[in-house]
Amino acid sequence: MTSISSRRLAKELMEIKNEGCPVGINLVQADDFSTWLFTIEVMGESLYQNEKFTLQFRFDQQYPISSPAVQFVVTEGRQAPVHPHVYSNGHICASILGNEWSPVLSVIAVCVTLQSMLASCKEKHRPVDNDRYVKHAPENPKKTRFHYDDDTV
Amino acid sequence: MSNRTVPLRRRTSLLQDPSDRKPPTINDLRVKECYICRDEERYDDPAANRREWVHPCKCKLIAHQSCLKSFVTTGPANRRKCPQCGFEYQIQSSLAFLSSSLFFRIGDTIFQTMGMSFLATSAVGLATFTAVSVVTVGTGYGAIAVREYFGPGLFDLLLTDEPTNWHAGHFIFLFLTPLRLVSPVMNLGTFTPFFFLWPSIPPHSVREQLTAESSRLDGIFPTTPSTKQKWPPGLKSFGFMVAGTSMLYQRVFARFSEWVLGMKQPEPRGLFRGLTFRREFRRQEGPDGAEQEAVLQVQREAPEEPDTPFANLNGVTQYPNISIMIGLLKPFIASGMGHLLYLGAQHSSTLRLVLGIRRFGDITPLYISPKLVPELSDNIWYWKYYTATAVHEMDPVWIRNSIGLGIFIVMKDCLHLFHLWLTKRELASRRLKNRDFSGVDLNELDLIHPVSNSRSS
Repeated sequence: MTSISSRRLAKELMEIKNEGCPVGINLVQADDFSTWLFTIEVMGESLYQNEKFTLQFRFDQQYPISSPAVQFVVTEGRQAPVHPHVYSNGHICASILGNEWSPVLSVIAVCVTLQSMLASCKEKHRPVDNDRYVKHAPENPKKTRFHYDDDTV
Repeated sequence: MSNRTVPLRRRTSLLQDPSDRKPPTINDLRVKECYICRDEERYDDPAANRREWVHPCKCKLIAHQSCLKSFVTTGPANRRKCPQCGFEYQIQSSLAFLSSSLFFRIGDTIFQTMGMSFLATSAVGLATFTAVSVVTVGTGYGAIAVREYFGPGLFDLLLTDEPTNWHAGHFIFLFLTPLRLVSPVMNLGTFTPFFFLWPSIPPHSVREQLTAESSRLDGIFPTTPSTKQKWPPGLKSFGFMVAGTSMLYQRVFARFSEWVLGMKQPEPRGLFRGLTFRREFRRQEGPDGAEQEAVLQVQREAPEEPDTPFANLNGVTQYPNISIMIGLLKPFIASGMGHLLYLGAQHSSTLRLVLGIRRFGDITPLYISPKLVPELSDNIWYWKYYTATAVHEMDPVWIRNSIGLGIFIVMKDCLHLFHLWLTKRELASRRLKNRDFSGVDLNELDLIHPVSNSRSS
C-alpha cells in the first residue's frame, strides 16, 4: 500500500503532465517523490522582467498533511530573487508554506502564489535581517520559525 | 415562490416539491474526491473499496474521515477550520462526557497531588537522610576524639557510648569537633569547651549499673573526703588554664615568628586577610585627608610588599591537605603524646607530680571507684559527691594529653617556622651565576690591563 504522499504526488504529476503548467511556470525535474524542480518567471511588466528562477520542492512522508519545503535554488550560478520576503540563501518567508498550509493547496498552487508574490513587489530589496538570518540559517527552511507580518508586499 | 405553512411531513401527495426534500448528504454524491489525498470514489464502487467519508463544513470540500482526522490533529492549532470556507470543524465522540466529568477530574487531581507530595517528601527525605548521616558521622568521630583526649575512664563514666545518655549541648559540640579540628587555626582550642561540658552526675544507666555492682560490696558510709589537693586541678579549672595558655601561646608565637622572619605576618585567617588590611588603611586616614593621602600612598605600597613574600613563602611550604589530615588525627596525637609522657613519668617524680599521676602498674584499672553506698542511690547530691570524688581519684589522662598535644603543636610550629626561615634565606641568597669572558674577542673588551695581540709572554 503506497503511502498517502506518493499517491497524491502521482496524481499531481499526472495533472501537470495532462493539463500542463500555468504560464511562466515550467517543470524541470520530477523523477521521484522527494524532490521536484520548477522554473518560474514573472510575466508582463514587473521588476523581475526576463529573470528566471529555479524553485525546489521537497516532500516528506506526511505530505500533504505537512507542507513541502520550498526554496529558491542558489547553487551553480543561480540567484534568489531580490524580494523583501526572499533571503539570499533561497529561503522564503510565506505563510502558505508555514502555518497557512492546507492540503487544499498543491504544488502548482504554491508556484502560482509565489509568482504573484514576485509580480506584486513594489521595491526590490533583501529582507531587513538577511545577513543575520543567512549566517545562522538551518538547511531546511521548515525548521525556521518565520514571523509573518506583511502579506501585502 | 410558495408561502406554504403546512409542515412538510403532512404532505402525502406523490408529486412532492423538490425544495421540500431534505438536503442531500455526502452519500448522495456520484463521485467523491478527498481534498487531502485526492483519491476518488464512485457511488457504484464495490463495497470492498469504500471508506468512511465526511462533509464537515459549509462548502463543497469533502474528505476521508481518516485523512481529515490526521490533518486536524497534527500541526498548528489553526487547522481546526476548513481552509476554503473557514467553518470550524466540530468534533464528536462517544463517551464525550469523560473529558469533562467531575468524577474523573477529581480522581486525577487527587492522584496528581499525591504523586507530587510523594516526590517532594522523598526529596526532603533524601536531603534529611544525607544531613543525618553526615551529622552521625561527625558526632561519632567527635565521640571517639573526646574519648581519646580525655581518657576512657572519664568518658565511660559520664558520657558513655550510648547517645541516649548525652545532653543536647554534647551533640552540638561533638558534631562540631571534626569541623573545628580541620579549620586552619592550629591550637588547643578545639577541646577546651569540653572541659566545661562534663555532666556532674553520671547518666541513669551508669548509675543503675554501679548500684547493681556495688550491692555486692559491703555498705560502708563514706569517710570524710580527703582534702582537695591544689594539684591536679579539677576539670573546669584545668580547662581555663588550657584556654589561657593557648591564647597566650598564639600571641607569643606570632611575635616570635615576626622577629625571626623579619616581616609582618598577615592574620592567619585566610578568608579575612584582605578585609583586615583594608580596615587598617581606613583607620590611618586621619582628619587631614589630603596630607594623609600621600602618607597613605607610601604605606599602601609598603605593607603590600611583605605580604607577597610571606604569601610566597607560605605557599611554598604549606600544604593544606596535610593540615586537614593532622587536624583529624589530633586527638590520637594527643593521646599518643600523653602515653609517652606517662612512660616518662615512670622514671621521674617531678613529671609525676606535674601530671598528677598517682598510681602505676600495668594492671591498673582505668579508674577505681570509691565505695558506693547503695542506700543513698536515689540522692542526687550523693551522686554529685560521688562523681566529684571519682573524677578526682581518676587517673587524669586529659592533663597529660593536653600537655602532650601542646608540646606537639609547639614543635610543629617551630619546625614550620624554621622551614620558612630557611626558605627566606634561600630566596634572599639567590643570584645569577657569574662566568668569565672566555669565548669573547678580548680586543673588544676595555680591560684595565689590556691583553697584547702578539702573544708574547
